[in-house]
Amino acid sequence: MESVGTVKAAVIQLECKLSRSAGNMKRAERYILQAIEEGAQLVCLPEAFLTSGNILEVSEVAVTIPGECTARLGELARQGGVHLVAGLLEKDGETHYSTSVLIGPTGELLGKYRRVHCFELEKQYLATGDTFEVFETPVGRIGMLQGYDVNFPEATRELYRRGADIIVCSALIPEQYAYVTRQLLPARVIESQSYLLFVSGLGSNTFAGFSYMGGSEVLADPLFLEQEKFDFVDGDEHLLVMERDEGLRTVELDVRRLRKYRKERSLLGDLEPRTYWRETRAAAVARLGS
Amino acid sequence: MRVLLISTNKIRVPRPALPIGMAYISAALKAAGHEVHVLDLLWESRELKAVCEKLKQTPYDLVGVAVRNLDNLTFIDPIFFGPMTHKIVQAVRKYTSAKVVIGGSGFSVEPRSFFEYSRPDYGIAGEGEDAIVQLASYLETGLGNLGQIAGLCYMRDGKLALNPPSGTVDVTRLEPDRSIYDPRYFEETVAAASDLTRDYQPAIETLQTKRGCKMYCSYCIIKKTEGRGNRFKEPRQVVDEIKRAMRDNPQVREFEIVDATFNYPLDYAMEVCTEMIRAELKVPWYCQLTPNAITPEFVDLLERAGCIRVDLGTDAFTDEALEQLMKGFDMARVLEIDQLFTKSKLEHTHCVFLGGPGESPKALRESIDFTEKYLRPAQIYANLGIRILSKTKLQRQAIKAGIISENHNMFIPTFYVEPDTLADPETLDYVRNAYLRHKNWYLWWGIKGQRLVDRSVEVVKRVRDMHEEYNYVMKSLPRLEVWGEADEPSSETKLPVLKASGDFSRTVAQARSAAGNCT
Ligand code: B12
Ligand code: SF4
Repeated sequence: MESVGTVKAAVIQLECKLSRSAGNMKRAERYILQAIEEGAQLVCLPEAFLTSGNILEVSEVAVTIPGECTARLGELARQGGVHLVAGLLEKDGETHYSTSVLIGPTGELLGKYRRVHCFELEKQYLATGDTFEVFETPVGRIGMLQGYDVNFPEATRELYRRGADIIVCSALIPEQYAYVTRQLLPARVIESQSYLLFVSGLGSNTFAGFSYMGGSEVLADPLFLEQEKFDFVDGDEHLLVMERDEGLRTVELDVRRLRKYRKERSLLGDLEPRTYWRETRAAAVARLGS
Repeated sequence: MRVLLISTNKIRVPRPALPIGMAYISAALKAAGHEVHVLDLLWESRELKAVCEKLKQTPYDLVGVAVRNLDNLTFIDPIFFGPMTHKIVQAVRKYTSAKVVIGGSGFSVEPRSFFEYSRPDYGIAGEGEDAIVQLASYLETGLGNLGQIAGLCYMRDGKLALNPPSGTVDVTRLEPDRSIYDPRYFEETVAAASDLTRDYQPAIETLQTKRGCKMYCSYCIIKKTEGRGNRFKEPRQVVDEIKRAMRDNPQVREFEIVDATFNYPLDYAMEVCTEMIRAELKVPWYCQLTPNAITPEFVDLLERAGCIRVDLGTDAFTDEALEQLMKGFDMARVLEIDQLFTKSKLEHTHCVFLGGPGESPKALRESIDFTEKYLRPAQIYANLGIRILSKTKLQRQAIKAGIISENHNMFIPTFYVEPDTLADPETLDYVRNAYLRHKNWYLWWGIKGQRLVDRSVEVVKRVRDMHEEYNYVMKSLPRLEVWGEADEPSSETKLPVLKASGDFSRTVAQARSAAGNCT
């Protein structure tokens, strides 16, 4: 595989409307084409971009993967020769997942990530995934996460151990968690020594009565940037920050330099896996509140 | 005076409720010359942060906290707003020197324990228009007598004084201040998960035609919020108000009458409909009705007046429960009304409690079979169990049934679910399966994912946690003695049972004996 250099990544902060899949798809297509026009090589959409977080009706609105939607995304990816990451509610027989797909520049489905962490209520509707895979591509090793995963350092740590350069976190997070999420993102990017694309959806969930936060960000490990730049100031780890408007933004990621940094400053050798997770879940839960 | 009114309602189901109570308070304050600002927490994702920011922005003299819902009255998914209100009071204390007064139906249902828990300077139980103006004037001038403000709760000689609400505000001179409504209320949205008859909810306005209700349902608290007696607006006033509201806000497509019961007394409701027809209003609207007072002529009038959907306070689908709930009608009557609406163009929803007093597992199963076989509503909106509030017959029934103790605090969510029914997983499955089978029957949005018996266990624990939280807060607060407690009349009076015509009674009897044979 030819060596990776800089990558132009596009973040599409989409307003995902409930019960308006066709309209959501149309707007997503428009932005993807615009991203291609702007020279993006990696184009990213939010979690459940087609249906919004309609888990109550997941059995009606979820799509198969591969299926009609991924075929259309594949066509667009092929047309622009880009890699594409998008979140979808997935239907697999009677089971449903919140899934992110990675589509390659020839339009083929390179892989998918079924969200591993689901909160209690979601678990009544969604099954959980069981692996954090990292995909080797010409634009770098790509790992995928979804919104709720940012609460779990275990998720980024796993992707880190598997060598992810770019973590695409397609998210759809209620606005009330915006503040904490913004606090967590820098931690996630530091502990994974990577680029983190937090691609966040907008819109409101009128079933549940809240809005989604938007506020997409692209971050890089600040220690890496400090080493790279003569003029780094605290906060510069946010390469891109979006507010609450729908839109498209692009950013350059220097994956080659990041890899070099990671090689020199890797945390991997200092991990002590023998000591982690020795407490059983049952014991930890039993202690809660006691 | 500069007054900040904060609406604390966070519930959006079955549809967001315009804060009409707060709008009436705003109108009364403005009419008395006060400056009114509002903050509506429905639109804030971090409520307390929004409150603190607002309080820091401008100095206020008085902060009114409007509590529409103390909780959501839902056993299967209880949400309690007491703690949020308590924190708002604390925020007012920290950031301002303003006095703080709590009002709204959520306060009025349990004024004593609400006050004791959240410790505002004042509370106003029941209608607030006159009381808030009198209070503001007292605070401004020092003149007046707090003891004479209807519904006022305040500290007097170190004790908590609870003036009884009067339920006498003159409704003919009132109109809500609709300018305070957040424009986001008027955006068309996807209908809530609990609204099964439509996909989209167009912008609506709401209005009251009267206050008070003269019926005696065993769980009802209307005497605490609006009062027992009726006070009416002139039908013409009602129509003019709708017209004005629609003219002032062209986004509004429909309206909802928020009388507790629009059709009781029936002749007044008919007069209002007649006036709408005469005025050629031609705006779709909806309302809540009791099956007690519905005739074919009335249904016809509703239709011609533009009414498109009605929520029926049917409350139960068994004779046993209807009697215990003191509804004043029986199942034969329910069937008759159901058929009347099925034949009409109106969409009708039966709102019912499952497992209320007297509803044994057997009766509950039978009622489901009966409903499936004979009733054809556009929707059924059901609740498992009933919220018990103090000074109701239901409270006494619950004590008798051993569900609660004599001194149980009703402020925190507390429910009556017939113990035998709650302890019967098969019957709960039977209910769940029926509600899953029918696309237009709604019990709880999470029903697909969980058995009711498992959910009940979780809920009981959740409610216990709420009680523990309450005790934790109360540990640091001295109990308040009551200064001259007000005695309210008992709600035991019974309405005569309205019998349906022979055919309907026979159908019910046949259905019940058939069900009895096969179970
Ligand atoms: C109509 C109605 C509905 C309609 C609302 C339609 C709509 N578009 O608005 C429907 C059927 C949809 C509905 C649903 C619900 N409702 Co409802 N509803 C009512 C009803 C009958 C009238 C409410 C109303 O608008 N009144 C008119 C206004 C003007 O009165 P008000 O708000 O009480 O305001 C007066 C006073 O409270 C006071 N006041 C108000 N604010 C303030 C503020 C200050 C500072 C002061 C001093 C005074 C003050 O002055 C006002 C004028 O006199 C009441 C019962 C009743 N009669 O009170 C229940 C009631 C308000 N509902 C209640 C509840 C719980 C609900 C639901 C949560 C039920 C559910 N699980 O679905 C939902 C929530 C909906 C929502 N989004 O909030 C409870 C709330 C109290 C409590 N026990 O917690 C009540 C009291 C019924 C009861 N059985 O206890 N409801
Ligand atoms: S009809 Fe019954 S429940 Fe409704 S307001 Fe009157 S007494 Fe209360």
